[in-house]
Amino acid sequence: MYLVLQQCLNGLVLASDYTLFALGLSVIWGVLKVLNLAHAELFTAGGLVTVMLGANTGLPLPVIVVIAAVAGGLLSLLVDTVAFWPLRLKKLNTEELELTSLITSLGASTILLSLVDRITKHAAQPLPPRLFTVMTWRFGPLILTNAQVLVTLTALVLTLVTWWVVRRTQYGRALRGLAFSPDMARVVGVRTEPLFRWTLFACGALAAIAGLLLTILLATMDAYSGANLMLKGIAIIVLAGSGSILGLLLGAFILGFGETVGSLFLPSVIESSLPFLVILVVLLIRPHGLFGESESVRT
Amino acid sequence: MDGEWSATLLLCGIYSLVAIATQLGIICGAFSLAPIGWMSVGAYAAALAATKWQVGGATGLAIGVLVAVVFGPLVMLPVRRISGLYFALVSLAFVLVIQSVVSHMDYTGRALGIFGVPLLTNLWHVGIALVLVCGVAAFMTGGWRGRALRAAGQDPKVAYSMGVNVANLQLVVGAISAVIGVVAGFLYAHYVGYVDPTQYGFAMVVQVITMVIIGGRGHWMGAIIGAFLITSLPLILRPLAEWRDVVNGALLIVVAVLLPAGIFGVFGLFRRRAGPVDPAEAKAGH
Repeated sequence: MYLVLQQCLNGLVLASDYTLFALGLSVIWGVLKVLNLAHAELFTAGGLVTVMLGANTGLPLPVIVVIAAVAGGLLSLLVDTVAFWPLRLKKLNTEELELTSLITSLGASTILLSLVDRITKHAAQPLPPRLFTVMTWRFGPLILTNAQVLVTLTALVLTLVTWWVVRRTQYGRALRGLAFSPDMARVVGVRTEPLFRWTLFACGALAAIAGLLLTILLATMDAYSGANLMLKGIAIIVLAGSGSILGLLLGAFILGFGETVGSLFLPSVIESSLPFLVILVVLLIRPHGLFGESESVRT
Repeated sequence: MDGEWSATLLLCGIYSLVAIATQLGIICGAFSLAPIGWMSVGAYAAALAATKWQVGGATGLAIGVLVAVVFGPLVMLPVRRISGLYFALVSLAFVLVIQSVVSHMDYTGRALGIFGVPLLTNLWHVGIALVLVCGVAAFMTGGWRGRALRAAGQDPKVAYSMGVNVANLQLVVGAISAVIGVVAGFLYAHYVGYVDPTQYGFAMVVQVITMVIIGGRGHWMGAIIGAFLITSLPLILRPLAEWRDVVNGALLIVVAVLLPAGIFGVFGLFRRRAGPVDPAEAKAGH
């Protein structure tokens, strides 16, 4: 019984981590219609910045968080300039844009991954101990660390903030207009290009912060820490449906709990293929996700 | 011919098969990554036939092909409900579920895979398979059949209204590309001598997409160009070996942005001045 409770707790932490990863990915997918595979490397870059600055400078953690976020944002803008902006100029239709941008983001992701792999010398890099001291709390047989609490709370706060920005602010209104139709948004006075850029910057920063938090949680990072989450991130977005931010929480929880609590009950075949089974089943039964707004435009 | 080059040539051939299988799907409007999953089925059929079932290689191939013919169309079915990227994701999930299943079953050797597949594949086998597959691809994409296929790919509704049975066509393509995938996997397993789950995962998917896009989306010859180019790239770029992934990635971006129709499309620019415009141009002209 305690095992189940402990696994629930672990599932919660895992789900928070997945949510953080999926946040920026989902917003970019919703707004730009781009499945940004390079998002994984922005995530990894966050961890890399943490480890490098932690080892080579004396900067405190909060400063590193800010630097990592800005670095992630700038990297995201760089990816956009190389991979997505040229496609926006071409005015492709949605289907073509989806495919072509998938390819260019794949290219960007391949390049960044191999660069990070070189920088980390093909090995896992430990988190410098001075940055974060792990404290462990015991509640009877249950174990909880301050890193887990930090990740869970940050995930919750950032998700709510993102939801609030997208759903309740003028900026979010413009963003949703952009997602619906860039041309229409332009007609009603939205300056689309700066909006694209700011969104990409914000999503890059989100990814980098998520990567930083995972590095703190695991006390290590390597070049593939983002790439390993990519398929799970996609599964979560598919489950939530594009445009649904609170749905991400649920999607992440299904995957997180499936992996931790599920590992106690489910055969290992099912448990390890859970993300893909989720993609398969959800897309077959509800192509727009559990909370997605069904678009009548798409046939 | 020196051994390294003939080995590369053989791999080029096998990759060409998978790339053509993927390309056929793309032409008829189903961006399906399932051929990589079918490759895995073919490879495991070869390995199981050689080790567990104790039957000849031909029987193993026959079983694999049978499975592909029956289930290939089934994997293609979802394209009726979902299209574009979402269908690609479904087919990707299919590939990864297969990978996950074979890496967790004792029968398929779990993560270790199966060793001891006889090394039978030589250049001749691959060459003959490639010629046959090119024939099938040319047959499917030539004449009225090809026009129907491309129409289905560009706009299913218009294709239906012109009397093309899009759904049936896509199912047939599903079966054909599955069979091609099985053959490719079978040849590959008999070439490297073992199978393991990591061979047919996300990395292979990325590899095949790269080939199809760089070679040229929309024509089976583009798939071959891409497969040969990408497979022999490590050999050509030996001085740049460490930067191989960077070169690959940069190629992908450059081609996708500047040459939407791939390298094969460059030939088309000279060839089709007076004839029907290619789809990319037609869309830009709207």
